[in-house]
Amino acid sequence: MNKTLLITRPKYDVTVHYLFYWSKKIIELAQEKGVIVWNLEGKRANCKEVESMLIKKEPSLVFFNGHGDDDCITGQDDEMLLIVGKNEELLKSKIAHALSCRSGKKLGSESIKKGAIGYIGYDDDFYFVFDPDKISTPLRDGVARLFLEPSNQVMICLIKGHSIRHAHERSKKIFINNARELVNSESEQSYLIPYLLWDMQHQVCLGDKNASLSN
Amino acid sequence: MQVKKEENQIDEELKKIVIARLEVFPSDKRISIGSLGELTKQEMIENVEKGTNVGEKIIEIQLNYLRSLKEGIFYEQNFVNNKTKV
Repeated sequence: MNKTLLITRPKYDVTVHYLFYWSKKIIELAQEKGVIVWNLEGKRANCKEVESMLIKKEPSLVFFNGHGDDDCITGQDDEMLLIVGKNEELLKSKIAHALSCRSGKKLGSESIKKGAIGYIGYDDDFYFVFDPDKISTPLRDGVARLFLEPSNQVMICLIKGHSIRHAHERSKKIFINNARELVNSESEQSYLIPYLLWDMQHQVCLGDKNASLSN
Repeated sequence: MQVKKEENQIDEELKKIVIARLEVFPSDKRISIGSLGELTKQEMIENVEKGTNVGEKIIEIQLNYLRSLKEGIFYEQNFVNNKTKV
C-alpha cells in the first residue's frame, strides 16, 4: 500500500477542539515515518474536500476526528462527510479509523461491504472527561489523556505498519491498563473507570484484520 | 399493575445508586458526550433524575461497569477472551 494519510480535524466545539489537538500528534508521527499527510482541518473538513481527496489522492489510511452517528461521520459545523447510502463506497481499498461516536455500528460495516479494507471505530458513544481549566492547552490535560492516548494508539500502530487487529487490541489494552491503574492505586480518579471501560468495550474492528500499511 | 409498580421502584432504586456513584465525580471536571455536548456533575445528576436519554445512557454506563466488575473485567484472561468485537 502507498503510505498516505487523509485526516479530518474539525474545530468548532469543545469536544472536537480536544480531538483537533490530540490528532496533531498523529500528523507529527506520520510525517516522521515518511507518510504523506493530507490534513483537512477547520473549515476544510467539509464533504466536498473529503470526497475530492478520497477520489483523487486515494489515501491508504483515513483518520476521521469529529462527531458521528450510526450511519455517518461529520466534519466542520456538523457537516456530513460520509453517510451510508450516499458515499460510503469512497472508503474502498482504504483502512479507516473514526474517532467519533457510533459510526462503527453501521457506517463501518456498510463501508466494508462496499470494499473498504478495514474500519476501526466505536459502535456507541465515545466519552472522555476533561478539565475545563486545560481547554487552552488540551495536550496538558492529564484527565483527557487517559482517554485520548489509548484512542490515539489505533493510528500510532497503523502508521507504524502494524495490522488493524494489532492496532485495535493495543488500543484496548491501554484503555484497560489505565482503568486498572486507577483501581490498583485507589486513586481519586476512580470515577473515570466506567467511561474508560465503556470506550474500550465499544471500540470495534471490522474488515480484514490482518491488513496493514505494510501489506 | 403490581409488576409495573415494582419496575418503577427498581428504576428509582437504580437512579439512587447511579446518583450516589456520580457524587464522586469532581465538580471541576466535565464529561464530553459527543455531539450532545459537555456535562458537569450536576447536569449529569439532573439528567438521571429526569430520566432523559442522556440520563438513561449514564445509568447504562454505570450498570455496565458494575456488570463488568462482576464478570472479572480486570483479570487478564477475561480481557483476552473478550478482546475483539466483530
